[in-house]
Amino acid sequence: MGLREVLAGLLLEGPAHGYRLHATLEAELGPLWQTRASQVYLTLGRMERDGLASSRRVRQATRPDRQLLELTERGRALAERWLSGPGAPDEAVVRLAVGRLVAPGRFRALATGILDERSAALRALRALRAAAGPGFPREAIDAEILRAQADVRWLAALRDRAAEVAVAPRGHRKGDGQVARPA
Amino acid sequence: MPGPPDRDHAVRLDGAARAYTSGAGTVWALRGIDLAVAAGEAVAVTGPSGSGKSTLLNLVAGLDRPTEGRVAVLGQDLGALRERELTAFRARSVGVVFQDPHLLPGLTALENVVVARLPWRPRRELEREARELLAAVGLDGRLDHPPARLSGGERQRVGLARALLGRPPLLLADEPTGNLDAATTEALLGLLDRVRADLGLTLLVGTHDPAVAATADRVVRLAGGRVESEAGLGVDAPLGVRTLE
Repeated sequence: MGLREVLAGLLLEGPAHGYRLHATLEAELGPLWQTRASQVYLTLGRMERDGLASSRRVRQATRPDRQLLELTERGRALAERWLSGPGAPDEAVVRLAVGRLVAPGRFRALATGILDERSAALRALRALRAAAGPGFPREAIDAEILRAQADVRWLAALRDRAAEVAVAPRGHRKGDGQVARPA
Repeated sequence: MPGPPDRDHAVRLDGAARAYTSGAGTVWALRGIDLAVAAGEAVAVTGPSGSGKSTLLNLVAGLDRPTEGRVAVLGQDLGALRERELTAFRARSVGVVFQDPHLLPGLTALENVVVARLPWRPRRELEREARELLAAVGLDGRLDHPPARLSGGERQRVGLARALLGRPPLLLADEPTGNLDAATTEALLGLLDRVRADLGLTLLVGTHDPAVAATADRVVRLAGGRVESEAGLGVDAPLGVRTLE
């Protein structure tokens, strides 16, 4: 999955430094999604090189200076495109996590859009299933159909709870790098 | 040859079998079942429709008696109890959750919880405990609601609170999520898991749904009235952690 798009999405909320972006990803996505801090800094450097973000140095009294990253117009366009989709099925959770933070007022629309994407995929998979010949491909398609069904059901429930989820508190980290798990 | 009932196991079946005889002959719903469930363990009994899940649960609940073999619950050989003793034993030791909670329509949620145990304990004492249990299953705001004003998930939670009244050490659940949608099923399974941990219960759940069976420590699969397979569910299974890069 493209970390570049994810970081650009987070920067829609406003300028931020790499440490904070990494911490936000860890806190919001929980233990099932991992991001290496080194990869975050590397990707931010590439985004700056490619004209997607600009940086400025911020002096700190007792700590080393920090690079504050901000999206350029190109970066903003990339982030908006990624957030609006369509995207890979695996990315749905990440798009929703980022969308909740940077555009809570659009969270329901985002969930509905992804629900529509997965519903269309489910429909297409069923058509594929109907046309599949005998043998294991049918089983492989069935596996995807059942995953898409689960996605569609989850997304429909999320859309119905969107108002509540959109305003739920941000995730937070417990201890040193440990993501707090729900009680 | 069945051994003596042991007290280390909450449930033990030794060579248990159940046959039903009709004009068409004898049908064996269960045959040669040996099963031991440790105290505090959660075991799922799964298998297709007609595989014997409900028959097994009914034997453990003391609602039915085996044709052959022995069933012991909490160290008590159920076959040694007369019908009245069995009823009293079940009332204090076993809670049962059914697919349909069969709530009485003319009673409130609170009354539905206490009514089954009224012959054994004072109403005031039962009501106090029922209020606690209904709060524990998230229904403290629904005490006075009749079943018609509760959702399917809420009705099933009333059924769970009713089964937990008197804090029986053994909870049996027969297709407890059979009438619920996927989200309500997950909510009820989470609740079952929590009350099981809080109360230190032994759980025996019968289900055809492998996703429900996955809530247990161990899954026993029945086919044609016999144990087809048995597997413990480890805690070190890969979770599918993804990496953003």
